[in-house]
Amino acid sequence: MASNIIGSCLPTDMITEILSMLPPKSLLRFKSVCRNWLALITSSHFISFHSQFRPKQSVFFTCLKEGQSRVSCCITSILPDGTSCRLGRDAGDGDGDMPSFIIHDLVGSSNGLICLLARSVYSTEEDYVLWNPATRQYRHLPASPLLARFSEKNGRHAFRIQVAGFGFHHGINDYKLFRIVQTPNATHAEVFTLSAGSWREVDEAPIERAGECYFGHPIGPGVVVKGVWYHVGFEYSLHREFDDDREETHEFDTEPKKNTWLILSFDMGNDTLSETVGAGQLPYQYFDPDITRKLMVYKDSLAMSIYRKKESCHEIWTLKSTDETWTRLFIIPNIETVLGFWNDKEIIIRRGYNPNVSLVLLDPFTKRLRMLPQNDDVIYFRHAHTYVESLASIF
Amino acid sequence: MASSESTTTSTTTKVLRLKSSDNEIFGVEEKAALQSETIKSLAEDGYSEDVIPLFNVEKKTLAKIVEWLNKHASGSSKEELKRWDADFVDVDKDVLYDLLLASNYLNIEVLLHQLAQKVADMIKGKKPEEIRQLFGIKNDFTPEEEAEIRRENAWAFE
Repeated sequence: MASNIIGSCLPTDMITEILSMLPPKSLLRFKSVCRNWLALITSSHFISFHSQFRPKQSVFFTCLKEGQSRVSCCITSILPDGTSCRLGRDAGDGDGDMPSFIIHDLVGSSNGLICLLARSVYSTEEDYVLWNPATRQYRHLPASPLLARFSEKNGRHAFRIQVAGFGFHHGINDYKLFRIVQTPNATHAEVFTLSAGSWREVDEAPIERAGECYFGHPIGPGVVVKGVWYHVGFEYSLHREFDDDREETHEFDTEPKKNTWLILSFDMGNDTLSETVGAGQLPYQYFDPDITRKLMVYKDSLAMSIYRKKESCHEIWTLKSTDETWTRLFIIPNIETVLGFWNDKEIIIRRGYNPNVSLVLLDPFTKRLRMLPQNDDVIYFRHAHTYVESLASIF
Repeated sequence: MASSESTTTSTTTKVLRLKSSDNEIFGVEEKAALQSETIKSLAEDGYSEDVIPLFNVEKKTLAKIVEWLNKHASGSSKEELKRWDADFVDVDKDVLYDLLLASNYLNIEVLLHQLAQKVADMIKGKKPEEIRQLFGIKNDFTPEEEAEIRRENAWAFE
């Protein structure tokens, strides 16, 4: 039994156990108790031990109505007891802790950190921000050498970020942001590593293939499972141009065979980009605007919801990593929008449209539905991501 | 609360004898006593026929621990145990510390967890000064260092 005495009463392992049950706010305060407590609370061992006991929350990019005509975007969270709150703004704390940027999207949430796509309120530049809502720290990621090379005069850029994914890899105990960037003549992939604080270009075989993919609507966001980021893409064989509006027109080949889809994966542990095998086992191989695909995470495995608009029906599939086979878990009829899984048990469903948006949880096995408390100011919820509070530092 | 009467049926229930640091002996049914990993390994080491000496636990604390062991081996319903446990840990801080140290020494994981949770609930909203007082911790920061740490986490003091 270890018994280095902290203070005079209790052994270290007991102090560790007690402190691991506290919310981050108390721990941030207790860093100033004494040197031993400071060392304990900031140790990487304690940080990962502590986050194991925090409840799993579901977080969403959310648009809220503010007053008569203003809309603000924020991240909201639903706790296991069903109550919801706006992250970074505790009840009673007032505001002022959310930094001065406008949130455009939630790129990913992994091991306590959230990556946001944001825009400064003072300029139009898009910006990736790492945020720890539990410690209220945030950090703007530096510009990458690659983007700097293609940044241009008159505020116009000769690049387009096709897709980005953020995640934590336990093996290397590090966070990474990965993105695929299209420039006029080439496709690039680059990765930001938190511990190094810098960007690095990745040179991998499937990058060219990724350059021929489309990652937008009606495809859902990427997900991270056990340190590997996955994203669905559609290969299309059409010529594209960067026009002056930075918009691309996507016309899909009418000959269906050319527009097959694939799942790209990026292993955050060893920086390898690859194509996930087995995607061919899933139904509907070709692009169809009436079929929506959304990757999700179910019991630490990759899952996918395939929505057939004509039948108003969702199929949920999961990938068994041992033999790379996809299995259909269940079919859910008459549901329009699935946002993700809730605690690996229920499916989060978005119902209705502005101004009557609500969230409902469905247990696919018992078919039981339950409404989550409604917030009348919500106009829109995007995909669900899992979030767990952590004291992880973003510096 | 009196320690539970042994409801012996045809099979005999083995009783272990636990001795506190101040030489009080408590008889506890084996099934209840073995919830403590420490007692379990002492029993396996051949102490089971004899008295098991627990040098680090005084009788007033051991009496409480025995009460807990008996209750948790009594087959009470989950809801009842939950209520009972809430009352059990509702004690003043000195008793709580003695119980924590004893359950740590006796290695009773479930009890240790309950007690730790109780302490966590108790200290959750406290200020660092109150924590130092409660745990008997000396502030070993220089005033500048302390001010700097507090400044970095100012919102947590609101």
